[in-house]
Amino acid sequence: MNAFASPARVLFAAMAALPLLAACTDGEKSEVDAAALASAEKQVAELESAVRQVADDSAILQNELKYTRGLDRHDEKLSRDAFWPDAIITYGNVIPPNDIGTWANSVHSKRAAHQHHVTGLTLDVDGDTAHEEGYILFTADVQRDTSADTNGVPSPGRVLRGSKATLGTGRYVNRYERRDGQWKMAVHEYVHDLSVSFEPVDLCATACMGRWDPADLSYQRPLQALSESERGQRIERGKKPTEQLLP
Amino acid sequence: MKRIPAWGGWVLGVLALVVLGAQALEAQQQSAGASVTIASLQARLAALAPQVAYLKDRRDIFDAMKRYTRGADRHDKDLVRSAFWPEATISVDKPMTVDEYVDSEERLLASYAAHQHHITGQTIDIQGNAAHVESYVIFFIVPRDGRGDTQGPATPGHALTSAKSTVSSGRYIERWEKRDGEWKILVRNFVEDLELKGDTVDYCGSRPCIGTWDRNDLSYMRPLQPVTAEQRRERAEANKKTHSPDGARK
Repeated sequence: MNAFASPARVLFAAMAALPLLAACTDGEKSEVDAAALASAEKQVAELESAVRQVADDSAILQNELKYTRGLDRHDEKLSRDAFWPDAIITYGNVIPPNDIGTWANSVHSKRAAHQHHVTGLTLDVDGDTAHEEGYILFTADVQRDTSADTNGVPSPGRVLRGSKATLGTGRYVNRYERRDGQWKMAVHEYVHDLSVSFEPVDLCATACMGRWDPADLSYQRPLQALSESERGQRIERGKKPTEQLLP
Repeated sequence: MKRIPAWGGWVLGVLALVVLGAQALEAQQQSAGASVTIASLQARLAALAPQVAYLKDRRDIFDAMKRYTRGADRHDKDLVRSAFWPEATISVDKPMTVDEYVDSEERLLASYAAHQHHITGQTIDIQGNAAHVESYVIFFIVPRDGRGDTQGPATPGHALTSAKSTVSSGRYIERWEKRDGEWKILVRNFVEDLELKGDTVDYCGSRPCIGTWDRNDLSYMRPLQPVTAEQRRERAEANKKTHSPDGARK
Protein backbone atom coordinates (compact mmCIF):
# COMPACT_ATOMS: atom_id res chain seq x y z
CA MET A 1 0.00 0.00 0.00
CA ASN A 2 3.07 2.17 -0.07
CA ALA A 3 2.08 3.18 -3.58
CA PHE A 4 -1.15 4.82 -2.25
CA ALA A 5 0.63 6.50 0.56
CA SER A 6 3.17 8.24 -1.63
CA PRO A 7 0.77 10.85 -3.12
CA ALA A 8 -0.02 11.87 0.44
CA ARG A 9 3.67 12.25 1.15
CA VAL A 10 4.08 14.29 -2.00
CA LEU A 11 1.23 16.51 -0.97
CA PHE A 12 2.56 16.86 2.56
CA ALA A 13 5.84 17.91 1.10
CA ALA A 14 4.04 20.32 -1.19
CA MET A 15 2.11 21.80 1.74
CA ALA A 16 5.30 22.31 3.64
CA ALA A 17 7.00 23.86 0.66
CA LEU A 18 4.17 26.18 -0.27
CA PRO A 19 4.59 28.76 2.49
CA LEU A 20 8.27 28.94 1.57
CA LEU A 21 7.38 29.42 -2.09
CA ALA A 22 4.77 32.00 -1.18
CA ALA A 23 7.30 33.81 0.99
CA CYS A 24 9.70 33.90 -1.95
CA THR A 25 7.15 35.42 -4.37
CA ASP A 26 5.89 37.76 -1.64
CA GLY A 27 9.45 38.89 -1.09
CA GLU A 28 9.89 39.78 -4.74
CA LYS A 29 6.51 41.44 -4.80
CA SER A 30 7.12 43.45 -1.63
CA GLU A 31 10.49 44.60 -2.95
CA VAL A 32 8.70 46.03 -6.01
CA ASP A 33 5.99 47.50 -3.79
CA ALA A 34 8.56 49.03 -1.44
CA ALA A 35 10.34 50.75 -4.34
CA ALA A 36 7.02 52.05 -5.73
CA LEU A 37 5.97 53.21 -2.27
CA ALA A 38 9.27 54.98 -1.66
CA SER A 39 9.06 56.87 -4.94
CA ALA A 40 5.40 57.72 -4.33
CA GLU A 41 6.27 58.92 -0.83
CA LYS A 42 9.02 61.16 -2.19
CA GLN A 43 6.65 62.61 -4.74
CA VAL A 44 3.98 63.22 -2.10
CA ALA A 45 6.55 65.03 0.09
CA GLU A 46 7.49 67.30 -2.85
CA LEU A 47 3.85 67.99 -3.61
CA GLU A 48 3.14 68.73 0.05
CA SER A 49 5.95 71.26 0.22
CA ALA A 50 4.79 73.01 -2.99
CA VAL A 51 1.15 73.00 -1.88
CA ARG A 52 2.12 74.37 1.53
CA GLN A 53 3.87 77.35 -0.14
CA VAL A 54 0.95 78.04 -2.45
CA ALA A 55 -1.58 77.59 0.37
CA ASP A 56 0.35 79.87 2.78
CA ASP A 57 0.57 82.57 0.10
CA SER A 58 -3.11 82.26 -0.67
CA ALA A 59 -4.26 82.18 2.98
CA ILE A 60 -2.20 85.26 3.88
CA LEU A 61 -3.39 87.22 0.84
CA GLN A 62 -6.98 86.26 1.71
CA ASN A 63 -6.44 87.46 5.28
CA GLU A 64 -5.03 90.76 4.04
CA LEU A 65 -8.00 91.18 1.68
CA LYS A 66 -10.38 90.32 4.51
CA TYR A 67 -8.89 93.22 6.46
CA THR A 68 -9.17 95.75 3.61
CA ARG A 69 -12.63 94.52 2.62
CA GLY A 70 -13.67 95.00 6.26
CA LEU A 71 -12.32 98.58 6.13
CA ASP A 72 -14.05 99.40 2.84
CA ARG A 73 -17.39 97.86 3.87
CA HIS A 74 -17.17 99.22 7.45
CA ASP A 75 -17.50 95.62 8.61
CA GLU A 76 -15.91 95.72 12.07
CA LYS A 77 -16.06 91.98 12.60
CA LEU A 78 -14.32 91.27 9.29
CA SER A 79 -11.40 93.63 9.84
CA ARG A 80 -11.01 92.58 13.49
CA ASP A 81 -10.98 88.94 12.44
CA ALA A 82 -7.77 89.46 10.45
CA PHE A 83 -5.83 89.90 13.73
CA TRP A 84 -5.05 87.67 16.70
CA PRO A 85 -6.68 89.05 19.87
CA ASP A 86 -3.22 89.92 21.28
CA ALA A 87 -2.01 91.59 18.06
CA ILE A 88 -0.19 94.92 18.17
CA ILE A 89 -1.44 97.40 15.59
CA THR A 90 0.30 100.74 15.19
CA TYR A 91 -0.78 103.54 12.93
CA GLY A 92 1.38 106.03 14.78
CA ASN A 93 -0.58 105.14 17.90
CA VAL A 94 -1.24 101.63 19.20
CA ILE A 95 -4.79 100.50 18.46
CA PRO A 96 -6.18 97.47 20.34
CA PRO A 97 -7.34 94.79 17.87
CA ASN A 98 -10.83 94.92 19.37
CA ASP A 99 -11.10 98.59 18.44
CA ILE A 100 -9.59 98.45 14.95
CA GLY A 101 -12.95 98.33 13.17
CA THR A 102 -14.59 101.14 15.16
CA TRP A 103 -11.43 103.25 14.89
CA ALA A 104 -11.17 102.76 11.10
CA ASN A 105 -14.89 103.40 10.62
CA SER A 106 -14.78 106.63 12.59
CA VAL A 107 -11.93 107.84 10.33
CA HIS A 108 -13.44 106.59 7.07
CA SER A 109 -17.04 107.74 7.76
CA LYS A 110 -15.83 111.33 7.54
CA ARG A 111 -14.85 110.72 3.92
CA ALA A 112 -17.11 110.59 0.88
CA ALA A 113 -15.53 107.38 -0.41
CA HIS A 114 -12.49 105.17 0.04
CA GLN A 115 -10.98 101.98 -1.31
CA HIS A 116 -7.91 99.94 -0.42
CA HIS A 117 -6.25 97.69 -2.97
CA VAL A 118 -3.77 95.03 -1.93
CA THR A 119 -1.78 94.64 -5.13
CA GLY A 120 0.58 91.92 -4.01
CA LEU A 121 2.67 90.68 -1.18
CA THR A 122 6.14 89.49 -0.38
CA LEU A 123 6.13 86.57 1.99
CA ASP A 124 8.86 85.08 4.13
CA VAL A 125 7.56 82.02 5.97
CA ASP A 126 9.48 80.36 8.79
CA GLY A 127 7.46 77.60 10.43
CA ASP A 128 4.41 79.12 12.07
CA THR A 129 5.71 82.68 11.74
CA ALA A 130 5.69 84.73 8.55
CA HIS A 131 6.96 88.19 7.71
CA GLU A 132 4.90 89.81 5.05
CA GLU A 133 4.92 93.09 3.17
CA GLY A 134 1.68 93.99 1.39
CA TYR A 135 1.64 96.76 -1.21
CA ILE A 136 -1.39 99.01 -0.73
CA LEU A 137 -2.90 101.43 -3.21
CA PHE A 138 -5.77 103.41 -1.80
CA THR A 139 -7.82 106.50 -1.73
CA ALA A 140 -9.17 107.47 1.65
CA ASP A 141 -9.41 111.22 1.69
CA VAL A 142 -12.19 112.12 -0.72
CA GLN A 143 -13.63 115.09 1.18
CA ARG A 144 -17.25 114.72 2.16
CA ASP A 145 -19.94 117.35 1.70
CA THR A 146 -21.55 116.77 5.10
CA SER A 147 -24.33 119.27 4.34
CA ALA A 148 -25.90 116.53 2.16
CA ASP A 149 -26.00 114.00 5.03
CA THR A 150 -29.08 112.96 6.91
CA ASN A 151 -29.08 110.83 10.03
CA GLY A 152 -28.72 107.08 9.53
CA VAL A 153 -26.31 104.20 8.98
CA PRO A 154 -23.08 105.65 7.56
CA SER A 155 -22.99 105.41 3.77
CA PRO A 156 -20.73 106.74 1.00
CA GLY A 157 -21.26 110.48 0.74
CA ARG A 158 -21.27 113.41 -1.65
CA VAL A 159 -17.96 114.99 -2.60
CA LEU A 160 -17.18 118.47 -1.39
CA ARG A 161 -17.22 120.75 -4.42
CA GLY A 162 -13.82 122.15 -5.36
CA SER A 163 -11.92 119.76 -3.07
CA LYS A 164 -8.97 117.60 -4.04
CA ALA A 165 -8.46 113.92 -3.23
CA THR A 166 -5.27 111.94 -2.97
CA LEU A 167 -4.33 108.56 -4.27
CA GLY A 168 -1.94 107.12 -1.76
CA THR A 169 0.44 104.23 -1.81
CA GLY A 170 2.22 102.49 1.00
CA ARG A 171 2.97 99.19 2.61
CA TYR A 172 1.57 97.04 5.35
CA VAL A 173 4.53 95.51 7.15
CA ASN A 174 3.24 92.55 9.11
CA ARG A 175 4.28 89.65 11.27
CA TYR A 176 1.89 86.78 10.82
CA GLU A 177 1.42 83.83 13.15
CA ARG A 178 -0.18 80.49 12.40
CA ARG A 179 -2.26 79.13 15.27
CA ASP A 180 -4.41 76.01 14.89
CA GLY A 181 -3.64 76.07 11.17
CA GLN A 182 -4.88 79.64 10.71
CA TRP A 183 -2.75 82.62 9.66
CA LYS A 184 -3.57 86.01 11.21
CA MET A 185 -1.64 89.18 11.93
CA ALA A 186 0.28 89.44 15.21
CA VAL A 187 2.12 92.71 14.46
CA HIS A 188 0.76 95.24 11.96
CA GLU A 189 2.61 98.36 10.88
CA TYR A 190 1.75 100.79 8.14
CA VAL A 191 4.41 102.65 6.14
CA HIS A 192 3.10 105.40 3.88
CA ASP A 193 5.33 106.11 0.89
CA LEU A 194 3.63 108.80 -1.19
CA SER A 195 0.44 110.57 -2.21
CA VAL A 196 -0.66 112.21 -5.46
CA SER A 197 -3.53 114.68 -5.61
CA PHE A 198 -6.37 114.49 -8.15
CA GLU A 199 -9.72 116.06 -8.79
CA PRO A 200 -12.37 113.73 -7.36
CA VAL A 201 -15.62 112.92 -9.11
CA ASP A 202 -18.89 113.20 -7.16
CA LEU A 203 -19.90 109.72 -8.21
CA CYS A 204 -22.94 109.45 -5.93
CA ALA A 205 -24.46 112.51 -7.66
CA THR A 206 -25.00 110.29 -10.70
CA ALA A 207 -24.67 106.62 -9.80
CA CYS A 208 -23.04 104.93 -6.83
CA MET A 209 -24.27 101.62 -5.45
CA GLY A 210 -21.62 100.66 -2.92
CA ARG A 211 -22.69 100.45 0.72
CA TRP A 212 -20.94 100.54 4.08
CA ASP A 213 -23.18 97.83 5.55
CA PRO A 214 -24.35 94.27 4.71
CA ALA A 215 -26.81 95.72 2.18
CA ASP A 216 -23.80 95.90 -0.16
CA LEU A 217 -24.17 93.55 -3.13
CA SER A 218 -21.03 91.61 -2.18
CA TYR A 219 -22.90 90.10 0.80
CA GLN A 220 -25.84 88.76 -1.19
CA ARG A 221 -26.22 84.93 -1.18
CA PRO A 222 -27.04 83.67 -3.73
CA LEU A 223 -26.23 86.71 -5.81
CA GLN A 224 -29.07 87.74 -8.13
CA ALA A 225 -28.78 89.92 -11.22
CA LEU A 226 -30.10 93.40 -10.43
CA SER A 227 -33.24 94.36 -12.27
CA GLU A 228 -33.38 97.83 -13.77
CA SER A 229 -35.73 99.05 -11.04
CA GLU A 230 -33.57 97.60 -8.24
CA ARG A 231 -30.54 99.28 -9.76
CA GLY A 232 -32.52 102.53 -9.93
CA GLN A 233 -33.52 102.21 -6.26
CA ARG A 234 -29.92 101.65 -5.19
CA ILE A 235 -28.72 104.63 -7.20
CA GLU A 236 -31.46 106.83 -5.70
CA ARG A 237 -30.45 105.62 -2.24
CA GLY A 238 -26.82 106.48 -3.05
CA LYS A 239 -27.76 110.05 -3.90
CA LYS A 240 -29.06 110.60 -0.33
CA PRO A 241 -26.08 109.86 1.90
CA THR A 242 -26.55 109.13 5.58
CA GLU A 243 -24.22 109.52 8.51
CA GLN A 244 -24.61 109.05 12.23
CA LEU A 245 -25.23 112.65 13.13
CA LEU A 246 -25.09 113.95 16.67
CA PRO A 247 -28.60 114.55 18.07
CA MET B 1 7.31 4.73 10.19
CA LYS B 2 3.59 4.15 10.66
CA ARG B 3 1.80 3.10 7.50
CA ILE B 4 -0.95 5.32 6.18
CA PRO B 5 -4.00 3.59 4.68
CA ALA B 6 -4.71 4.17 1.00
CA TRP B 7 -7.99 6.08 1.55
CA GLY B 8 -6.20 8.22 4.05
CA GLY B 9 -3.77 9.29 1.36
CA TRP B 10 -6.64 10.44 -0.87
CA VAL B 11 -8.38 12.32 1.93
CA LEU B 12 -5.20 14.09 2.86
CA GLY B 13 -4.53 14.81 -0.78
CA VAL B 14 -7.94 16.43 -1.27
CA LEU B 15 -7.57 18.40 1.97
CA ALA B 16 -4.14 19.53 0.90
CA LEU B 17 -5.47 20.69 -2.45
CA VAL B 18 -8.27 22.65 -0.78
CA VAL B 19 -5.83 24.34 1.60
CA LEU B 20 -3.29 25.00 -1.15
CA GLY B 21 -5.95 26.39 -3.44
CA ALA B 22 -7.32 28.65 -0.74
CA GLN B 23 -3.83 29.88 0.15
CA ALA B 24 -2.91 30.52 -3.45
CA LEU B 25 -6.15 32.38 -4.05
CA GLU B 26 -5.69 34.51 -0.97
CA ALA B 27 -2.10 35.36 -1.83
CA GLN B 28 -3.12 36.32 -5.35
CA GLN B 29 -5.95 38.50 -4.07
CA GLN B 30 -3.69 40.22 -1.57
CA SER B 31 -0.95 41.09 -4.02
CA ALA B 32 -3.47 42.09 -6.68
CA GLY B 33 -5.16 44.39 -4.13
CA ALA B 34 -1.85 45.98 -3.12
CA SER B 35 -0.66 46.54 -6.69
CA VAL B 36 -3.99 48.03 -7.71
CA THR B 37 -3.79 50.49 -4.79
CA ILE B 38 -0.20 51.51 -5.57
CA ALA B 39 -0.86 51.77 -9.30
CA SER B 40 -3.96 53.90 -8.77
CA LEU B 41 -2.11 56.12 -6.27
CA GLN B 42 0.71 56.54 -8.77
CA ALA B 43 -1.81 57.54 -11.43
CA ARG B 44 -3.44 60.08 -9.08
CA LEU B 45 -0.04 61.49 -8.13
CA ALA B 46 0.92 61.75 -11.79
CA ALA B 47 -2.29 63.70 -12.44
CA LEU B 48 -1.81 65.90 -9.35
CA ALA B 49 1.85 66.75 -9.98
CA PRO B 50 1.37 69.03 -13.04
CA GLN B 51 -1.52 70.87 -11.36
CA VAL B 52 0.56 71.58 -8.27
CA ALA B 53 3.58 72.46 -10.45
CA TYR B 54 1.43 75.01 -12.31
CA LEU B 55 0.31 76.70 -9.06
CA LYS B 56 3.85 76.63 -7.71
CA ASP B 57 5.28 78.04 -10.97
CA ARG B 58 2.76 80.89 -10.91
CA ARG B 59 3.55 81.60 -7.28
CA ASP B 60 7.32 81.49 -7.83
CA ILE B 61 7.09 83.80 -10.86
CA PHE B 62 4.99 86.36 -8.97
CA ASP B 63 7.35 86.06 -6.00
CA ALA B 64 10.42 86.76 -8.18
CA MET B 65 8.59 89.69 -9.83
CA LYS B 66 7.92 91.11 -6.37
CA ARG B 67 11.65 90.81 -5.62
CA TYR B 68 12.20 93.12 -8.60
CA THR B 69 9.60 95.77 -7.63
CA ARG B 70 10.38 95.59 -3.95
CA GLY B 71 14.11 95.83 -4.73
CA ALA B 72 13.52 98.84 -7.02
CA ASP B 73 11.37 100.61 -4.41
CA ARG B 74 13.85 99.95 -1.59
CA HIS B 75 16.94 100.64 -3.79
CA ASP B 76 18.13 97.12 -2.97
CA LYS B 77 20.20 96.27 -6.06
CA ASP B 78 20.89 92.68 -4.96
CA LEU B 79 17.18 92.03 -4.65
CA VAL B 80 16.53 93.50 -8.12
CA ARG B 81 19.38 91.46 -9.60
CA SER B 82 17.97 88.26 -8.06
CA ALA B 83 14.96 88.44 -10.39
CA PHE B 84 17.13 88.18 -13.56
CA TRP B 85 19.43 85.52 -15.04
CA PRO B 86 22.97 86.95 -15.37
CA GLU B 87 22.84 87.07 -19.19
CA ALA B 88 19.35 88.63 -19.33
CA THR B 89 18.59 91.43 -21.77
CA ILE B 90 16.38 94.26 -20.58
CA SER B 91 14.93 96.71 -23.03
CA VAL B 92 13.39 99.83 -21.54
CA ASP B 93 14.75 102.69 -23.66
CA LYS B 94 17.42 100.51 -25.23
CA PRO B 95 18.66 96.93 -24.66
CA MET B 96 20.77 96.67 -21.50
CA THR B 97 22.62 94.03 -19.50
CA VAL B 98 21.46 93.30 -15.96
CA ASP B 99 24.23 95.41 -14.42
CA GLU B 100 23.56 98.35 -16.76
CA TYR B 101 19.85 98.15 -16.03
CA VAL B 102 20.18 97.81 -12.27
CA ASP B 103 22.54 100.81 -12.08
CA SER B 104 20.67 103.08 -14.48
CA GLU B 105 17.30 102.34 -12.93
CA GLU B 106 18.55 102.93 -9.41
CA ARG B 107 20.08 106.23 -10.50
CA LEU B 108 16.84 107.27 -12.20
CA LEU B 109 14.68 106.34 -9.21
CA ALA B 110 17.08 108.18 -6.87
CA SER B 111 16.28 111.39 -8.77
CA TYR B 112 12.66 111.27 -7.54
CA ALA B 113 11.36 112.16 -4.09
CA ALA B 114 9.31 108.96 -3.88
CA HIS B 115 8.15 106.11 -6.11
CA GLN B 116 6.27 102.84 -5.88
CA HIS B 117 5.63 100.01 -8.34
CA HIS B 118 2.48 97.90 -8.03
CA ILE B 119 2.18 94.63 -9.94
CA THR B 120 -1.57 94.24 -10.25
CA GLY B 121 -1.71 90.91 -12.06
CA GLN B 122 0.11 88.54 -14.37
CA THR B 123 -0.76 86.49 -17.41
CA ILE B 124 1.50 83.47 -17.49
CA ASP B 125 2.02 81.04 -20.37
CA ILE B 126 4.22 78.17 -19.22
CA GLN B 127 5.83 75.74 -21.67
CA GLY B 128 8.10 73.40 -19.74
CA ASN B 129 11.04 75.39 -18.40
CA ALA B 130 10.15 78.53 -20.35
CA ALA B 131 7.37 80.97 -19.61
CA HIS B 132 6.01 84.06 -21.28
CA VAL B 133 4.75 86.49 -18.70
CA GLU B 134 2.92 89.78 -19.01
CA SER B 135 2.77 91.76 -15.78
CA TYR B 136 0.51 94.77 -15.41
CA VAL B 137 2.20 97.55 -13.50
CA ILE B 138 1.00 100.86 -12.05
CA PHE B 139 3.76 103.07 -10.77
CA PHE B 140 3.90 106.40 -9.00
CA ILE B 141 6.62 109.01 -9.35
CA VAL B 142 6.91 112.14 -7.22
CA PRO B 143 9.34 114.86 -8.46
CA ARG B 144 12.15 115.72 -6.10
CA ASP B 145 13.15 119.02 -4.63
CA GLY B 146 16.86 118.26 -4.29
CA ARG B 147 17.96 121.63 -2.98
CA GLY B 148 18.30 120.38 0.60
CA ASP B 149 20.11 117.15 -0.33
CA THR B 150 23.58 116.43 0.93
CA GLN B 151 25.82 113.92 -0.77
CA GLY B 152 25.39 110.30 0.30
CA PRO B 153 23.50 107.10 -0.44
CA ALA B 154 20.12 107.97 -1.95
CA THR B 155 17.22 108.58 0.44
CA PRO B 156 13.61 109.54 -0.20
CA GLY B 157 13.52 113.30 -0.79
CA HIS B 158 11.37 116.36 -0.43
CA ALA B 159 8.60 116.66 -3.00
CA LEU B 160 8.81 119.44 -5.57
CA THR B 161 5.23 120.69 -5.34
CA SER B 162 5.60 123.07 -8.29
CA ALA B 163 5.96 120.08 -10.65
CA LYS B 164 3.36 117.39 -11.38
CA SER B 165 3.52 113.82 -10.15
CA THR B 166 3.06 110.90 -12.53
CA VAL B 167 0.93 107.81 -12.31
CA SER B 168 1.99 105.50 -15.06
CA SER B 169 0.36 102.30 -16.24
CA GLY B 170 2.10 99.77 -18.40
CA ARG B 171 3.28 96.22 -18.86
CA TYR B 172 6.45 94.22 -18.39
CA ILE B 173 6.44 91.73 -21.27
CA GLU B 174 8.91 89.01 -20.49
CA ARG B 175 10.38 85.62 -21.23
CA TRP B 176 11.28 83.64 -18.15
CA GLU B 177 13.33 80.50 -17.72
CA LYS B 178 13.37 77.86 -15.00
CA ARG B 179 16.81 76.53 -14.11
CA ASP B 180 17.38 74.11 -11.21
CA GLY B 181 13.80 74.74 -10.13
CA GLU B 182 14.22 78.52 -10.06
CA TRP B 183 12.34 80.97 -12.29
CA LYS B 184 14.04 84.19 -13.40
CA ILE B 185 13.68 86.75 -16.18
CA LEU B 186 15.72 86.23 -19.36
CA VAL B 187 14.18 88.91 -21.60
CA ARG B 188 12.27 92.02 -20.56
CA ASN B 189 10.55 94.56 -22.76
CA PHE B 190 8.79 97.39 -21.00
CA VAL B 191 5.72 98.92 -22.63
CA GLU B 192 4.15 102.02 -21.16
CA ASP B 193 0.47 102.38 -22.05
CA LEU B 194 -0.64 105.59 -20.39
CA GLU B 195 0.31 108.28 -17.92
CA LEU B 196 -1.73 110.53 -15.67
CA LYS B 197 -0.46 113.75 -14.14
CA GLY B 198 -1.55 114.77 -10.69
CA ASP B 199 -0.69 117.50 -8.23
CA THR B 200 2.35 116.74 -6.14
CA VAL B 201 1.79 116.31 -2.42
CA ASP B 202 4.62 116.89 0.03
CA TYR B 203 3.30 114.16 2.29
CA CYS B 204 6.53 113.69 4.24
CA GLY B 205 6.79 117.42 4.76
CA SER B 206 3.63 117.45 6.85
CA ARG B 207 3.32 113.95 8.31
CA PRO B 208 5.80 111.40 9.65
CA CYS B 209 7.36 109.29 6.89
CA ILE B 210 9.32 106.24 7.92
CA GLY B 211 10.06 104.34 4.70
CA THR B 212 13.73 104.18 3.72
CA TRP B 213 15.79 103.19 0.66
CA ASP B 214 18.01 100.75 2.52
CA ARG B 215 17.81 97.71 4.78
CA ASN B 216 16.90 99.89 7.71
CA ASP B 217 13.36 99.89 6.27
CA LEU B 218 10.85 98.18 8.60
CA SER B 219 10.11 95.50 6.02
CA TYR B 220 13.57 93.98 6.65
CA MET B 221 13.20 93.70 10.47
CA ARG B 222 13.31 90.11 11.80
CA PRO B 223 11.42 89.43 13.97
CA LEU B 224 9.26 92.47 13.32
CA GLN B 225 8.62 94.45 16.51
CA PRO B 226 5.95 97.06 16.99
CA VAL B 227 7.41 100.53 16.48
CA THR B 228 6.84 102.84 19.41
CA ALA B 229 5.59 106.39 18.87
CA GLU B 230 9.07 107.57 19.90
CA GLN B 231 10.84 105.31 17.38
CA ARG B 232 8.41 106.43 14.70
CA ARG B 233 9.24 110.06 15.45
CA GLU B 234 12.98 109.31 15.37
CA ARG B 235 12.69 107.55 12.02
CA ALA B 236 10.60 110.39 10.59
CA GLU B 237 13.11 112.93 11.92
CA ALA B 238 16.02 111.02 10.33
CA ASN B 239 14.11 110.97 7.03
CA LYS B 240 14.05 114.75 6.94
CA LYS B 241 17.79 114.77 6.28
CA THR B 242 17.86 113.85 2.63
CA HIS B 243 20.81 112.58 0.62
CA SER B 244 21.50 111.95 -3.02
CA PRO B 245 24.56 110.51 -4.78
CA ASP B 246 25.15 113.85 -6.53
CA GLY B 247 24.55 116.01 -3.48
CA ALA B 248 22.45 119.17 -3.71
CA ARG B 249 20.63 119.66 -6.99
CA LYS B 250 18.64 122.59 -8.21
